[in-house]
Amino acid sequence: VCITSLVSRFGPAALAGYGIGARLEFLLIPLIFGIGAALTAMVGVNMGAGN
Amino acid sequence: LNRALRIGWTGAAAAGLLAGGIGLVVAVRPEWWVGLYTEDPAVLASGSLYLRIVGGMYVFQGVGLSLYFASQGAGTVFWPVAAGVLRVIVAVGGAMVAVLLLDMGLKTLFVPDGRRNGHFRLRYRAVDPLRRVGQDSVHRWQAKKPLHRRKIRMNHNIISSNEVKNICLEAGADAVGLVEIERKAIDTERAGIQRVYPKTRSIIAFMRAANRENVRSEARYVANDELHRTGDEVTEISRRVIRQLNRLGVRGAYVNESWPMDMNRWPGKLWDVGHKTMAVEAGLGHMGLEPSWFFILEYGACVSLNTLLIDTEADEYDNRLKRALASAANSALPFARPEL
Repeated sequence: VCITSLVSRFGPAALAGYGIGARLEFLLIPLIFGIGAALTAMVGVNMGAGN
Repeated sequence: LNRALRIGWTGAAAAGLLAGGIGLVVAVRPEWWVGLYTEDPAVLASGSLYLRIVGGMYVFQGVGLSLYFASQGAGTVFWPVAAGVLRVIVAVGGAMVAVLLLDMGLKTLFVPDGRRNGHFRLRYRAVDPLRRVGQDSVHRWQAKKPLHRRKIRMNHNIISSNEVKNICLEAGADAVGLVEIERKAIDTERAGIQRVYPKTRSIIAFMRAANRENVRSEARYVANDELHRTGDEVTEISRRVIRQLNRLGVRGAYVNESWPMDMNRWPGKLWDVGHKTMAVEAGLGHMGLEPSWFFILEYGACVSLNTLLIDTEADEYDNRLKRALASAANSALPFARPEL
């Protein structure tokens, strides 16, 4: 939110460009969540098993 | 705990490769992503700059976030959370210092200039829905009703030269021709053209005749008025043509018809686009015996010229008229030049 408001000082084009760029990050997050959720379970099981 | 550690690092590496790979691609070719959303050069420029800088860091986003999940599995979330908080402080605090205190940032990077614009041009595959080669030259654009409804992407089209000319004639031009931006003969004008409209791919030169007898009248106010009216018409035609081309997905700018000089550039070249040079190259007419004099066989010298710059290639371009015809025209003309 703070970054967005800072970017908006540079005008609508900059804001749009930033928004489009940042959108890609939002798309990456579910991909990483997929791997991460599996990691939580696997690491948890192995910790519990003393591995 | 060896196995848990190994799982954590393997997962982090996988997520890092995934995010980093995507990040690298968009850092090198940001237009692949930003171009999906926009064609506006300013937005393309800022979006591309953002991805060029940030894209290389996506690998850390992947590694960091997946290690955070692994830490959850291990039951130790203090350090990941602390790192997240630190990251926000650095990013937001740093940005605020840079932008608010030091007045740095996008502003200094995006001073609009022509060279930069070309840099972010999109490269589309060559599909050209506008192309209609061999089209009948008496075809009228009004007859085709859905034209203004068609939504066509910019810059990758080839427009029919006949169609452009018909639009100009419909709008009131008396003669029209097209010139490609790369032509050697317009070398002297290219910098000016690109100053007026950096995306120029084709140049439309057109002419509107004034009423010759007014212009030749002894009464100066009679001649002046006719020239001014013709000039106004030429501007109006230019605007109408550009607007109609917009509906076909073509963008463009028109140059000033009457006083295209920028006196700040004295004693250099005061004008950007020489209308006479363009008109000669477009095959409209000839330069007269004096270099300031341009004439057209059918209309004489009492004509008004203008130049339109468009961002789209045409399927056909015009060439200058044969010189032999020019000399014949010189002697054939019923009058020499308006008496001033």
